[in-house]
Amino acid sequence: MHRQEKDTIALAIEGNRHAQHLIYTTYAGKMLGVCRRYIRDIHDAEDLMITAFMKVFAHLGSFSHQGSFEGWIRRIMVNECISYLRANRKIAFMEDESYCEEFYNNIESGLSVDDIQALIDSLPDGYKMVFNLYAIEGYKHREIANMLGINEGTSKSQLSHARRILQEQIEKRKNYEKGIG
Amino acid sequence: MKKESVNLDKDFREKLATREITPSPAAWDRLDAMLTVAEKNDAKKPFRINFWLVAAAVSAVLLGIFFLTESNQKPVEQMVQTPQLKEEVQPLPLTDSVASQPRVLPAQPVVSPRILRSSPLAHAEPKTIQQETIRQEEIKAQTNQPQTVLPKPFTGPSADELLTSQPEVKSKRISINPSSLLTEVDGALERSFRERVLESVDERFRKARTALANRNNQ
Repeated sequence: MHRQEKDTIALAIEGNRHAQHLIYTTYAGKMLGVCRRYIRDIHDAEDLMITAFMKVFAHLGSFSHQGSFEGWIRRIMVNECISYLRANRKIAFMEDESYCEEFYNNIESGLSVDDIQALIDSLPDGYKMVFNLYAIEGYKHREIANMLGINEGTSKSQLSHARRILQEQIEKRKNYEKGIG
Repeated sequence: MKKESVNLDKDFREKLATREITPSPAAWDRLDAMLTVAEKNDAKKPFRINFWLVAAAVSAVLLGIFFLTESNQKPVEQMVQTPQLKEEVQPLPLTDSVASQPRVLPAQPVVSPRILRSSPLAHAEPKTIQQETIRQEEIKAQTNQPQTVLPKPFTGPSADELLTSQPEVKSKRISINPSSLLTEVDGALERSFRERVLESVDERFRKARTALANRNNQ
């Protein structure tokens, strides 16, 4: 970690508003992107990001400076989104452990970020959450199961279903583009 | 197959991880306002603790004052009883000058039969009055200046002088009712204590109300 970042964090812990603003401007864009992956509505995502930043500044003293500061903030953002979705009962996990390991074909690369986001948005919240946590954030199924309070098998099945839906959507898009072409 | 899905995950991850969405300009203002409110709340917490500490201390002091005054009132009640003795001794020819000069002890003859004879009560119970007089004089002498007075020779007024001054003393004493005086003092003490307690409670209540109102306004 850069010494400058350490100094900024130290000042922010003391309540220095300039340091807090510096941290906010450095990470707000990325963190809003993280929140947006879980929350469809951009305004809700921004609200959650602000709430999560409040928690970041409130618990800044507990940051141990051992891992990545960005990763620490990102984890707070993800937890905030999960809490929000669970509180609003927007995620419902069916205890379904019957899943096939991997099934879809190679996907043609070249999808834009907005296309990918649109595909993820089309997923049911439960699938979307597990896919985001596993495929994008890099959590393991055991961690996801602990975070969401589900079985590890359920996490795997949710991921499997999410990938199947994504593949179907991508195939449809490819066929549509071929048809137009 | 697995490799392909990993490729999909990697493709998604790379594109989404670098994705940034610029927040609205008002987002920082909102966060700033929330941080300010949180800081104010944090600053108020010690006040709350201090407030309760002060409230506990005030109540402890009030209780202390209450019990102290309760204990102080008991001697006052005893003092009310003592004047009865004075009333009995009132007609005796003890002047202020005699009382203030504890040299009475060596001059015991001052309270001698001549004085007793002249007092109206002396005829009724001469022995007891004489004994009471002597006892009271002894007490007064001891309480005033027993050590410095005793060695000195008696230089006070003679018995004849005391006899001549007796009517004036009587006339003065008739106007004073010790029991009424003591009851008045007792009442004044109770009143002052009550007023003090009520004033302090009222003052603390106003302070607490003002503090709560300020906090609510903020």
